[in-house]
Amino acid sequence: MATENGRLWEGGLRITLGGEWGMPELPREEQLAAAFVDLADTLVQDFDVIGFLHSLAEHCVALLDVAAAGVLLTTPGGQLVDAAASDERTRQLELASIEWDEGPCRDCFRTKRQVPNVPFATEAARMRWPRFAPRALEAGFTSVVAAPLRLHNQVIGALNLFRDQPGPLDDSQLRLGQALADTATIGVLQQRAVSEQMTVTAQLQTALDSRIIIEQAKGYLAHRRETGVEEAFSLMRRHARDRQMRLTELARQVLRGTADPSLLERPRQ
Amino acid sequence: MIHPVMADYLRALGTHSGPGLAPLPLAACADMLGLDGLGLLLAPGARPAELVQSSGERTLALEDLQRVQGQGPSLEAACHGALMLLPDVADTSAFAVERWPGLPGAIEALDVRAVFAFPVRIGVIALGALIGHRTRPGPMSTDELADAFGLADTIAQIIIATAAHAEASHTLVLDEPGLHFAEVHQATGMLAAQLDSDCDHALIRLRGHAFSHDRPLLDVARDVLARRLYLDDNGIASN
Repeated sequence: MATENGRLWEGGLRITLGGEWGMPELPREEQLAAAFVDLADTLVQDFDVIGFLHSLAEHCVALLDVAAAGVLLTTPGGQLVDAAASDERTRQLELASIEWDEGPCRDCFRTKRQVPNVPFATEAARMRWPRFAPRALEAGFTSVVAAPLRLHNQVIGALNLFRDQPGPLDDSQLRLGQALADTATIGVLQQRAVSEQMTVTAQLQTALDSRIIIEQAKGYLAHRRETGVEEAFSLMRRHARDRQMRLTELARQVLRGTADPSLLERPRQ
Repeated sequence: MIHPVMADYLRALGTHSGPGLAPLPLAACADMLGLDGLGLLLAPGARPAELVQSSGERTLALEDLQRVQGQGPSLEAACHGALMLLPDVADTSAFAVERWPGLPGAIEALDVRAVFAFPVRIGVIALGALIGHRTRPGPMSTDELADAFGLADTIAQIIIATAAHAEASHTLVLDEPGLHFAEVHQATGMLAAQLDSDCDHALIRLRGHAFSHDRPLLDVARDVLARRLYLDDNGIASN
C-alpha cells in the first residue's frame, strides 16, 4: 500500500496549480475554476480514485491557508482506509490515526459532520485524541479541521485540513474546503455508479456468451455422437454433473475438442 | 411522459421475481406505439446481437434477414447505439438504399414497410436495441417516439437490475427459452464438427448458404440439424 501510494503521489505531481511547482501564478478565480473542473472530471478512461483524491488534497493545499491535507475513504464495511495525502508526514499521520482509531477523520466519519477547528496544543485535544494530538504536534501541525465527503445521508470518507500557523482556519476557507470535498464526493460516487453498471454489463455479456457456447456445443456433440441436439445436451449435463464441472466450461472443452473422449466419442457396441 | 397504460405494465415488470429477464409485454407496447411488431435484442459490449424477446409475426423474419446479410438498422442500433428511423423502406431516395445495398428491397419483400430501431443503453454503455416495424409506411408520431424512448430507457434499467440481481443469486440472466436463434448456434456447432473448423467459420458458411439461396438463416439451420443439408468446405451443398 505504501509503495502504491508513493507511486501515485509521484503521478499526482503532474497536477499543478499556481506557483507551487514553479509554474506561473494563475489568478485565484482561475485556480478555483480549474480545481472544480478537475474534480468534476471523473468520466475519463482509466479513472483512478486514489489519484483523483490526491488532486483533492493538492487543490486544498494550493487554494486554502493550510499546510497539508489528507483524505480517508470508507470501505462498504465501514472500515476507514487512507486514500491520499498532500505529503508523506501527513500520510504517516493518517495511517496512525486509522491504527489508533482516533483523530479528526474518524470523528468526522462517525458524526457525519464537520469537525470544527481543534488546536493540538490544548488539554481538550489531548483528552480527545491522546495519541493523535501529540503525534500531530510532533509532525509540526498546530490545528486541524475535518470535512465529511458527503452526499445526502451517505458519508464516504473525510477530508482533514492541517495548519502549521497559529490561529484557526478562516470560516470562508472552511466553506471552500467543504465545497471541494462535496464536488469530489459526487465524482467518486459517479465513478462508483458507472463501474457498477460496467460490471453488470460484463456479467450480461458473460451470460449471453455462455448461452451461445452451450448451444453451439450441443450441435457439435450431436454430430460427434450421431445423435439429436436434445440428447447431446442431456449427455453434456450428465457429464458436467458427474464431474462437478460448470456446463459453460464443459461446452468450451467440447468445442475445442479437448473434452473427455468418453463424452466426445460414441461408445462402441 | 410515458403512456399511462405502458407505465402500468412497466410497474408490473418491476415486481417480476422469477429467474431471468421478465417477459416484456411487447405486443401491447407495439399496439401503443402504432407498430405491428417489436423485438428486444441484447448486444452487451457490442457483441453480435441476440434476439431474446419478440412480438409480431414478422419480427423474427426481419431479424433473420439482417443476420443473413450481416447488416441492417437493428444491428446498428444494438451494436453501435445508433437511432434508426426508416419510415418507408420503399423510398429509393432514402439513405438506407446506399447504406445497406440489397436490404430495403428484401425487407419490403417481407411485407414490412417501416422499421424503427431504438438503442437500449445507459449513458455510453450499449446493452442492445428495441426494434419495431410496421407493414404500412409512415413516420412515428412525436408522442409515439417519446413513448418508445421511455420504453427503451426503462428496459435498459430492467436489464441492469435483472443482471445485478442474477449476479447476487447466481441465477441465469437469460432463462430458457432465451435465444430466438438458438437453432442457428446449434447448427453452427454441428457444422463446425462436420467441417472440423471453428464456430466463426461455420457460421459464415451457414450465412453464405442462406444468402446465396435467398433463404432464412433459421430454415437453413433447421435443415442442417435435421441432417437434410450438408455443407462441405467448398461451398457445395448436398441434400
